[in-house]
Order: sequence, then structure tokens, then C-alpha cells
Amino acid sequence: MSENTDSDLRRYFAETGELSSDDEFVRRVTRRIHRDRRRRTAMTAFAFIAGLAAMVRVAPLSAAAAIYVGDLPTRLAASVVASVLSPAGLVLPIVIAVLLLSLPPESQYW
Amino acid sequence: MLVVLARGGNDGAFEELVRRRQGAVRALLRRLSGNAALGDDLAQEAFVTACRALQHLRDPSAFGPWLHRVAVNVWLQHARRGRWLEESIEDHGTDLALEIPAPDPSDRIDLDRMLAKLRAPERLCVVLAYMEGMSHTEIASATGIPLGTVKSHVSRAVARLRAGVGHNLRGKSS
Repeated sequence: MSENTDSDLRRYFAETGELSSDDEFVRRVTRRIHRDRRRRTAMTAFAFIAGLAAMVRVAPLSAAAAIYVGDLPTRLAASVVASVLSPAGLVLPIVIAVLLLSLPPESQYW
Repeated sequence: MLVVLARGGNDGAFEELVRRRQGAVRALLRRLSGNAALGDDLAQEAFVTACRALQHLRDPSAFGPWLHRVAVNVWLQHARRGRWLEESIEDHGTDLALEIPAPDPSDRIDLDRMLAKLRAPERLCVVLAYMEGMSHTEIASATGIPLGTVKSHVSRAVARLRAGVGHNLRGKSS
């Protein structure tokens, strides 16, 4: 590669490295940014709602299962986790725990 | 100042940044893609990506080089989706009317026509080397192309450019 060609290429790119301003391009970018923001906001809201719904649905069931089969620390931990993840979903594990704990000792097989 | 304002969520500041930087980013992406319409579309995508990622830019004074890196990454993603960087794939159609101004119109016609005729990996390497001033190692790191391949792409591309327009370029510089 000759030195001349090398420097000429650099000079060419330096001198032609920019296009003239285009207002229409700027408008298109602005519109695209706003559209991107709306889409991302909608997706975040959807993910949040879906996650919340899943937690509300799953947390009490998993907590109830842990309370049913677990030892005392597990039951306590499951209740705490259920209350943190889903205050509304705490009702079911508490009801189950109360029912199980209220059974006579001989019927409790754990 | 504009970058700091834009990073803080000022839409007007970012719009002004787009206005000021669009010429360079569009020229870069037109040359990388060898196609004016595709280059402009990718330039729009680059600015949207930059707007989204601006919060992560630590040094506002490095906005220019950072924006160019974002633009190159946008092109690389597009090229990988289309498998343009694979050796066995023939280059896609190119639009020779890049409409990039040059001091001498004959320069534009000759060199941009030759650039558009290069295969995508060769064009990528030669544009990054000569337009962006990146070293071969930096190109290899940014593109994932092995260093030896980068060197051969640059060497081959320059040879082809020289064969096509070198005589003209040498004549002007002497």
C-alpha cells in the first residue's frame, strides 16, 4: 500500500465525513424516540401487571405448600415471604396454617 | 452542556444533539451499508439507541466517539442478522448514489462507487480504519473479526480502491 493512497484515503474521509443538515431526518428520529418510549412504557406496565398477578397467584400456594410440609422455621419463613411478596395472598396460607395447627396433635403427622 | 441536559431527560437538548451530529452519523452508516436509504434508517436506530443508553454515558465530553461506537454497533447487529459478515455470503445490493458531498465531485463518484462495490466485511474494516481512525486491534475487538482477517480485509480493500481510483488520488495529491 503506498503512503500516498493511505493518506489520500484519510483525507478523503475527513473531508467528506459529514452530510448537510436534514430537518426531516431530525423529525423522524424524534417521532421514533417517542414511539419507542410509548412501547417501552407499555411493555413495562404489562410485565409489572403480569408479574404481580403471578405472584399473587403463586405465592399463597407455594407458601401453603411450605407450611403444610415444612418444619416450624420453614413455615415461619414461608409466611414471611408470602407476606412480603403478596400481602393480599397471605390470607390463604394463614387460613391453612390455622386449620392445620388447630388439628389435634395425633392427626398432625409432621 | 447539551449532553448533560439530554442525559437529564431534556428532549429539546437531545433533538439539538441529533441536529448537530446527524450529518456525521448518516455519512458513516451510509458508507458502512453502501446504501443511502438503509444508512439513514440505521442512523435513526442509532439515535434511538443512544437516547435510551445516554444515562450510562459517564463522560459527556466523550459523546461524539461514543455515538459513533453506538452507530457502528447498530450496523454490526444489522449485518449479523443478515449474515453480511460471513465470508461465503455475497454482498447485498448497494446503492451507488450515496449523495456524500466531496470537494471534487469526481472523488465522490470514484471512491464511493468503489467503496459500495466492496464486500461488507472489507467495507466495514476500511471505513473503520480510515474514516473512524481505529487501529486494526480496535476493529477486531469491536467487530469480533479475527485480527489477521481484519488486516487482510483492509489490505485487500485498499488494494481494490487503489486499483479503481488510486491513480486519480495519487494524481491529485502530487
